[in-house]
Amino acid sequence: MKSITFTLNGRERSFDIEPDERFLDLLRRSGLTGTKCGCDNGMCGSCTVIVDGRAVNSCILFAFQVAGRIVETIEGIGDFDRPHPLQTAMADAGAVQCGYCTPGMVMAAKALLDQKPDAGEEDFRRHLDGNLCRCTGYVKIRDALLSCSAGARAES
Amino acid sequence: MNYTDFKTPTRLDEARALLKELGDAAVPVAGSTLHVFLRDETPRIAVDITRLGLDGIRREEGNFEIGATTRVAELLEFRDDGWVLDRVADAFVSQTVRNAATVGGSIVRTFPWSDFPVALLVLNASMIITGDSDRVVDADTYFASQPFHHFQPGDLLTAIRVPPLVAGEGFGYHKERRTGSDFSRLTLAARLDVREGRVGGLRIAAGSGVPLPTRLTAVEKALVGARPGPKKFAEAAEAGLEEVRWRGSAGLSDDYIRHLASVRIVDVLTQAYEEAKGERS
Repeated sequence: MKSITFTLNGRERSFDIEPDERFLDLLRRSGLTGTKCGCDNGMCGSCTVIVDGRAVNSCILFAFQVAGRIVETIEGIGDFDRPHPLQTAMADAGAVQCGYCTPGMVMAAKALLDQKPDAGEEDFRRHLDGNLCRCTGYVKIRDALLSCSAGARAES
Repeated sequence: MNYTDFKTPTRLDEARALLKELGDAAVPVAGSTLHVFLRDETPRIAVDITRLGLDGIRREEGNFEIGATTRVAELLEFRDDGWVLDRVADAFVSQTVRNAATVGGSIVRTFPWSDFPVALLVLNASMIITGDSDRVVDADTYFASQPFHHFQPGDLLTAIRVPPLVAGEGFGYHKERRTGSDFSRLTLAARLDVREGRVGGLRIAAGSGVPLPTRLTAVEKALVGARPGPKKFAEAAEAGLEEVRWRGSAGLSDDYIRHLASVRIVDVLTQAYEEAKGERS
């Protein structure tokens, strides 16, 4: 085991890790189970977290790679009592069915909106092209995420 | 991968010294996305090379110089005159993978379905390897076989030098895939320039439908000096079909890929020609 330190959801944290431990596994064994394991090979986006401002698949990231980085997970952006606007929008639009892909969708969308607050539909399509949903058919997800962009809010 | 330890050097010389000292026991790691596909269980020490300042894209003596650990997403976001690699990056897996994968990681080992080697071959790029003796390896030499032949312990690919497109030149690119994040089933790229109504120079390459990314020199020979147009492009494509053995994958037959190549060669030539004429937006 070796120790790494990084900023997790706004707090500096240290963890003992195995050299070949994936970041997804570190999160989940640490109780942060909002990040889901889907395909396990970087294709579905259920495990999306934000590292240094960019949405990445934590299932194909080794834990040692986040040493010194700034990491956000779904637990860090909102909770049941104080949900993030993206989480509220997903619920309001009925964009959640089984919910397994939802944390990844929200994190990928947050990374985009942090970078580009007025993101449009084409931006969402491109930035969430690695986040798959097997239930909803994407229309309500698109509607929910778009409603959170500055452009949509300005029009309404 | 079976990593038994990891190192996080912050200087290039430190990383190189580690890799040299550890030899085959060490492996450089950047995006790590490639390692999903490598079922190598040999115990190794990971050397994280993402903190060495080898990222970013800049103009250097007229060329683009892309740091080896530049994320593919940055290639998609970058804009400058003569820059075309955003089109390759756009078709690269998905945004979450583009955010992690590095351009260097995409070319230190080539697979039949590798995207960037096809484009870098036609763009006549050069690979900069930093070692005990620094080297600049042209794309034809670099991709002639598996690139590991160019590396000694302690050597690192540090940058890729890409000449920009200039007026009168065009670039065409096509990646055939079944879904957005699918592996390529056929990749084609072309760079063409038009001088006085004729094809002045052409580099065209294929990937995925062939064993390893390769130039289609028969197509190039058929077109250089000729008046470009749909009929001539189709004739040249026929020459390309005979040049290599086209291979199917994932249920697509060899004959299907060969037929697809005949269509897509014309498509990328047309794209490049239209851009060379200034007709592509």
